[in-house]
Amino acid sequence: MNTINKWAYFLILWLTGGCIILCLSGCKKYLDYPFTNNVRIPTYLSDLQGLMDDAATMNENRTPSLVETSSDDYFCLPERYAALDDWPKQAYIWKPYDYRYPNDWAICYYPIYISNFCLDMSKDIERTSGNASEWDHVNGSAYFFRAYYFLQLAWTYALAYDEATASSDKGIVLRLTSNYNDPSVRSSVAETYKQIIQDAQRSASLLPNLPMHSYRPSKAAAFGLLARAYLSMRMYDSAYYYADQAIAIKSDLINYNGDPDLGTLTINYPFKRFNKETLFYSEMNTTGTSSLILASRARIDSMLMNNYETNDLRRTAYFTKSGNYYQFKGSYTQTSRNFTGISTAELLLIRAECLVRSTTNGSGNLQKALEDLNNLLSKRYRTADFIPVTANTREAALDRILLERRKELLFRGLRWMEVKRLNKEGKNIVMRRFLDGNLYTLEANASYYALPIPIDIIEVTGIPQN
Amino acid sequence: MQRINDLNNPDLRWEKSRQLNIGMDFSSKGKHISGSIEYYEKKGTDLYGNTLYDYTTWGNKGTVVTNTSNMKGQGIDINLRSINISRGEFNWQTNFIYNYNTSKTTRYLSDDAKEFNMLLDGSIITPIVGEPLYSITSYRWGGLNNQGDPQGYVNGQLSTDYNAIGNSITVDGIDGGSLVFIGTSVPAHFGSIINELRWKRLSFSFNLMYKLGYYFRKTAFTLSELNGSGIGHPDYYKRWQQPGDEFSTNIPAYVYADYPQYTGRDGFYRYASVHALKGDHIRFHYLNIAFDLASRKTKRFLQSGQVYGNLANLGIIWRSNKEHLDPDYPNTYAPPRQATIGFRCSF
Repeated sequence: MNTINKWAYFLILWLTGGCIILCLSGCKKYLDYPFTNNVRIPTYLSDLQGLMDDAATMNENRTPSLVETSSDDYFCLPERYAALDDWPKQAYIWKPYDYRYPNDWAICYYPIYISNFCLDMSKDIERTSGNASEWDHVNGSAYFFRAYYFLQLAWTYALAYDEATASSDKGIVLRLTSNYNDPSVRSSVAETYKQIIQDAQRSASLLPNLPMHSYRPSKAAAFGLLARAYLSMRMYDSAYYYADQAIAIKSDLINYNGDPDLGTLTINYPFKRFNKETLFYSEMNTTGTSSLILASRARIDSMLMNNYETNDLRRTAYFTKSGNYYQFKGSYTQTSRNFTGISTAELLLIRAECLVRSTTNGSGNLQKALEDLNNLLSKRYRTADFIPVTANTREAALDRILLERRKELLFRGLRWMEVKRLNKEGKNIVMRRFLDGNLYTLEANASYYALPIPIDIIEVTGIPQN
Repeated sequence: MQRINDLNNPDLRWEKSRQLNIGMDFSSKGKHISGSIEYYEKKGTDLYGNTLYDYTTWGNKGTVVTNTSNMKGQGIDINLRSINISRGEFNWQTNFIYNYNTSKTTRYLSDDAKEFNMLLDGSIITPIVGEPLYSITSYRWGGLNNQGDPQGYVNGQLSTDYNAIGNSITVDGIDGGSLVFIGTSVPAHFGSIINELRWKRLSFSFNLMYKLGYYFRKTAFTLSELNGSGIGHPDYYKRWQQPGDEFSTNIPAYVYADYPQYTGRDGFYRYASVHALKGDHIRFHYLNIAFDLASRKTKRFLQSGQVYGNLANLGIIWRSNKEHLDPDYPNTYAPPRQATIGFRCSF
């Protein structure tokens, strides 16, 4: 009896001890495991790719809206203007306004954070022959997104690039790591563009020619981004080079006379989303002042509207009549959100403009520029009575190309930069608003072209306001 | 597809709390009165709270959670049982529970506390040193004007410029005069009184709960809810309808909200101090009645047996607010009355 008791005691002790050891090792394993339900610490390339495939963060509802609401392709109906909040009201007449989160600044620095995070994390992942294409895609995409949103921010919060003053003009905050403790400082405009170009070039060298989906960056998109950046800097030779490279990869155009990517021209949003012209897809955000450009409030500037001839199919595809005026319905997002991505048509227009501006190759370039322009316009005008554009002088051709740029690319977040750039070329474009019998103007090259930075950012970081 | 939900903040420390308790149990001779009394002091440091930060670093949120504040609190818990009558088969006991507690913010680590939205509803730690840890603030109420529009204050002057009122609280916080500090949103005194009566095999008990010394915010009649969502509000019937009504009502006129002068009117009115009410109330929590079936005669086949009835959520028997609102459920219906009848036994 006694012995049995002893044995039983021993057995119990042994089992309990075993259980404790089992438990300890179990716990350790559990703690090492980086998964808890749906939450995990991203460690693999596929995680990083997954972060950048989140279109709701990287593409949609994203690019600045203040650049569009501050531009002159539209005007706000006075009775609708009256019901707006303070900020859009002030923004409309170019009055500096102290605004806070949420805003374009926050919305654009979010995908930049994701890009930096992916770049930081992939530093710890060795590039091997097995993962090379995935590794390149992750890094190339991260560089692209960072450059893409840096450029959007530069268009919004910095003055136009001017070689003479670029190293002293205030640029944007160039965040290059995901480290939250790094302080934010403003770079110069020169540093801003240098970083954008460096990132975009790196992404071009790492990405495949064309993407699986236009949400994703590609070599063609990176070339398009470089063309945009160089155009903003008024470095037309480089802009030409990259536009040309992008077009060499993809040059599809939607024929507005009839095309699988097109519904009936008169309907709301006739263009298919992710259509063949879309090299890279992004949308303008609907935050802050964007209430100004809701279709119910915004009407197309009448002078601009007059430039769409009756045989210009964009007149019916882009606009619908509302009272005495027209409102916009031609977004490539196939929704009320504005498309701000890169299209083949935009690149054709960049190439054409740069060709005309180029002083080499005599009139040969002028002819090539008109070819590009007419190639596009033949898909935009009614085929039956389209007469190709001719021009005898460079100036005449340039004027027409710039006009077509404006007609083709309205509500794409491009006009604000366009006006800044052209004013640096001496175009002297003065924006005007009429409101309650008052005239408000924004003079060419005004300092307000670098839009106000959110006041809470100024307060927390101490960076200088525009 | 993956998404980052939160920023890793290596500087975040655990919240720390220290508590000191002193207590005493007591009982009178014959146990007619017994109970316990306990005093406690609590200190919390590095409490979590939202702080403004440089959202250039991330962008997805306007604030991050950091260790923002310290608090200090104290309180008393009293539990008192008395046997009021115990004579033969009749017995009456009362159990009295009383809790007192008070706590306040003793330090707010973030320098930018002033920059917060100072319209507090008790959901975040009060970013003002010396004030109750969870509090309610409201727009200072200036009555209705002769158009039936609610008025606040800007720079000490009556105003219906709701944007300016809003800006004033963002810029000047609690010091600007557009806001008033109402008080704690947590009851300072609370507890219950349970009475139990027993006569032979019949027993009867009921509980009264009380909460005293705090404030809550009632709902308001707003244009956006009525026009936008079709949600009505009984205050509509008491609204301003013609000049002169402003002397007898605080409910603004029903107007077309899209007119520019009404931008922000709802937001102001909803958080105006007329909607901050004292929450003090006493509630009839439950009533139990039971009859014991087991007796000496039944013991052979029944160990114990009971028929019982219970009524719960019997409503409020006293409240400080005159608008007949339940401070525990200012936005929704209070839970309905519940009646239970049952039989319980063991063999």
